Amino acid sequence: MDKDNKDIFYKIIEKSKEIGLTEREKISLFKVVDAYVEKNPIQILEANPATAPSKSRGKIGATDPVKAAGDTDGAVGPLGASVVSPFFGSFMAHWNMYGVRAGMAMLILFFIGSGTSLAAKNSLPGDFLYPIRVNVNEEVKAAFLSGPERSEYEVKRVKSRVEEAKTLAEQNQLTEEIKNKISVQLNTHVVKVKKDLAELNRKGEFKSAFEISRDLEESFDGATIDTAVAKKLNEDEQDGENTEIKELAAIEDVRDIVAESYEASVAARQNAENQILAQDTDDDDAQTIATAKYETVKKSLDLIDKAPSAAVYGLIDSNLNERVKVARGLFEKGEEMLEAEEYNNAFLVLNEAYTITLLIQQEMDIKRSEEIRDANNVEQLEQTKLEENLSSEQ
Amino acid sequence: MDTDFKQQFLDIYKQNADAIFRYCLMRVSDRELAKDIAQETFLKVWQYASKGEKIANLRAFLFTTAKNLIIDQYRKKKLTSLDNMMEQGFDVGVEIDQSLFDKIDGQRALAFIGSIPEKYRDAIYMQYVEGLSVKEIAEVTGETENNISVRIHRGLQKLRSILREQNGYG
Repeated sequence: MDKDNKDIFYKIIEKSKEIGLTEREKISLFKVVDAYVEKNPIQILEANPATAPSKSRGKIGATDPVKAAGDTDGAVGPLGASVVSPFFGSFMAHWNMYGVRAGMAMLILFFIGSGTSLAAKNSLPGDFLYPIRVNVNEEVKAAFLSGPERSEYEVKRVKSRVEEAKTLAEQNQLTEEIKNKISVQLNTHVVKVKKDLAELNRKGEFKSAFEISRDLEESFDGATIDTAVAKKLNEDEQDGENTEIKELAAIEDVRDIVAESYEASVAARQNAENQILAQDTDDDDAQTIATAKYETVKKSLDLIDKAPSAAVYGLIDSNLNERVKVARGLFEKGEEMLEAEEYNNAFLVLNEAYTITLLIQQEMDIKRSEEIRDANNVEQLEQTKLEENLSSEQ
Repeated sequence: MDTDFKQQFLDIYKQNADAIFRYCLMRVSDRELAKDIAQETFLKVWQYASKGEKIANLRAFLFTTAKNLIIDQYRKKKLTSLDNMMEQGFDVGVEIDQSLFDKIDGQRALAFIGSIPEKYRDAIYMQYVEGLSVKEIAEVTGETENNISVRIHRGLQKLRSILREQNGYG
């Protein structure tokens, strides 16, 4: 390379070296790495020298990195001898001497809440960065929370997973692998919430336990096919659009994913209610669950009333109208009991109404689900035939 | 002991974060993605080290991990080509106190190195920008030291022809 080219080449090299993270980015990344290191401690045992790497076990140079950092107990770090920069000691000296550590700590505090990178934050299951979002960013955030706040955060995570499943379903990107992954994640979140609920019940904080379990159950709202399909059909009707079968099939896919966790959350809520009922007092807690049940039954009855296809009813059960009438009667009775402040009894009556409406919804749900699957299969078959015809013509 | 290891690792992070990020940026040409891969690189290395696995040369190990993560990313998604990046420019997030001239120059410089044919790019970049030895580059790339030396030599020749074409030098 001649002199001119050499000059340009070295200029390019020097200029390249100027590129780096901004201070803010460094702090943001440092926060994540620091929290991760804290949460995932060294797995080698200090008390068991046989498990710890030692100078005699490796072909690493003589300098012990831990000793280089000022440690004198003779322990050997997992990070080999040559890993430590020659500037390590002087960096540490400056780090401590000039209060850089304190400054960094203040900056970290300042930037707490700024979150990690946008790319990971917006990632979806199947993306390269998604595990960072779920296993690092969210876990780090959860690690800083405790008590009801942590449970609420886990409920929020459930909501996120459901939303992600819906987004991917709409984009037709829900592979079996992704479905399984989201399902496992949902179960993990629900298990964590259930643990917290058990702890709250143990402490006698039944009302908090109930409220969290109700939020958990509601975080699935719109994912269950009955409500989601009804919502989609109503929206399309209002917008004057034709609902595509594949869109309904996507909702169906989401239901498959959430089914297990949803059932667990329903059971958790029922358990919380039973804990309150077992107290056998018409106090605030009983009022809370009775009022909540009243709202739930009201919603269910509305949903059944507004069911988009009357034909569906006939296919399920010819006595459906009769069953709805019974549920409505129980609902009105419960309403009266609520007004009379007989909360325990009101809850029991409303719960009976709820059981009836739930059964109706489930039956509608199964029927719709079958219809959607059949229609989707027919549509896909027609599409395949069309493509085959087109290709044979070409 | 645990605290010392942690502190040691965090210090290593501070010393190498820029270099790993820069390498990722050179390869993927997307600042957000480069940050995420750099972050994941350090987490993976800690995962490995925290199990008591010995790492002979941490700097080489960091680059190897980053390189593998980038390859994974390439397998999953087709990344923006460097040609596009050079045409459109890309966000390098240079500090405010740097002049606009510096920003453009640093960005172009990194993009220029990134545009060297893949075979020579890592060898040239790691030796000249990051100061890795031939032995270390061989460790990162999984090639022999001889091959790396040849690649650096040929890479420089290639650069010469690129510069000649672009600037009329040589």
